[in-house]
Amino acid sequence: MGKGKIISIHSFRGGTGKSNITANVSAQFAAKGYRVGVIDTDIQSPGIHVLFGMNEEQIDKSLNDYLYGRCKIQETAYDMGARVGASGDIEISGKIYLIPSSLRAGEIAKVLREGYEVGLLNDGFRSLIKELKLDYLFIDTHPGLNEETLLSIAISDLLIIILRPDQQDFQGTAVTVDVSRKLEVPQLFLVINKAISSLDFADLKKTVESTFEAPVAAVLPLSEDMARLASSDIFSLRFPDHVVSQAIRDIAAIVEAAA
Amino acid sequence: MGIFNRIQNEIDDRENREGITPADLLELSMGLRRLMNRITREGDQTAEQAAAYMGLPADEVEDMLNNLVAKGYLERELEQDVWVYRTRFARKRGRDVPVGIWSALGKQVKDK
Ligand SMILES: Nc1ncnc2c1ncn2[C@@H]1O[C@H](COP(=O)(O)OP(=O)(O)OP(=O)(O)O)[C@@H](O)[C@H]1O
Ligand SMILES: [Mg+2]
Repeated sequence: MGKGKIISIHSFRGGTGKSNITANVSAQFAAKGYRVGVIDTDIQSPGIHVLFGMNEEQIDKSLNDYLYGRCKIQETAYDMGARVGASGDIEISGKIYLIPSSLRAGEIAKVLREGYEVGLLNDGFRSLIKELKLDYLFIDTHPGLNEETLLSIAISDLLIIILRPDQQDFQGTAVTVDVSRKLEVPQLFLVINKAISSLDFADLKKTVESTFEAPVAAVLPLSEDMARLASSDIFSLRFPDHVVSQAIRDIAAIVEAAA
Repeated sequence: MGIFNRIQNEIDDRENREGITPADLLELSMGLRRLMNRITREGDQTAEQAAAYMGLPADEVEDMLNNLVAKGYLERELEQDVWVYRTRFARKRGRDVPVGIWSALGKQVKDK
């Protein structure tokens, strides 16, 4: 413990399940007793706060306030332990903090219009680990390769790339895998999400592993139960016996062993 | 030509910058990228740490690092009498999109 590792979750295309998987895996780490932080670097279209049951009114200070010098980064961290714990019978013995991005249209516009100091974002990641004594910092990213995403890949100890069994995702994933090799990410794992039940999962895993020459941590089925929850809660805490939840725990175990 | 000379020449050929973008890391040659990746991922490095990683003599790596500071790729700070080097990132620039969008959004903010 006390490793302070940075784990980024990325996909080349949007809607692959990054935010859902990030929230679920980080919650599993908190349940294991670790101190974890989850930061939303999708500044132009933030979303992961929804999984933690937060809305715009509840977000007082955000990452944006830190980037514009209005506060320290640790002042933008919200303790999610009670909310996450209320999801089910699983006790959260560790700590889980969320660092949300602003949902205010004007704040999003400001970032797009004026830009921000990338060095400050980089310092912010490090300060969070230090000030909150984090074992793991999970970075939820914007799809594609923008500045925040490239920075998160450049500094991460472990990168998870999520893809669907879809030709567009395959091509995009090849790009991200190439970038992660150029940036020398020490550990790279792929996660296949939304696989339809008629596919042979073992076969799919093998094909993807040989295509990208990287290990697949888990194959998650396309799940009507997950879609029904509609990002309103942490699925793996609410429905721990579900196959999707088992796959989430598999990812957590692999990440824990690797980083 | 040894790796030291190759990297030094590459740095010399580069234009002065006021910081780099994360995307700039992708277009560096392998040797220089390896050094810059290491400093970026670790957050900071002394010449000695970077030298151990690169498998090069510390005085050579110190020259490289100072050269990178001069070019605006790194910044350095004295910590307990030792120079510590960090990646210097350029500010992310804003984008131009139709003016009407910004004013409409700005109004929304003021209304809150
Ligand atoms: N295995 C699954 N089965 C069914 N629905 C899923 C599954 N995984 C995620 N979803 C649904 O897919 C949608 C997108 O998920 P999510 O927001 O986590 O993706 P994302 O990659 O973060 O998207 P964005 O790129 O927009 O940030 C959500 O409605 C979520 O409930
Ligand atoms: Mg998302």
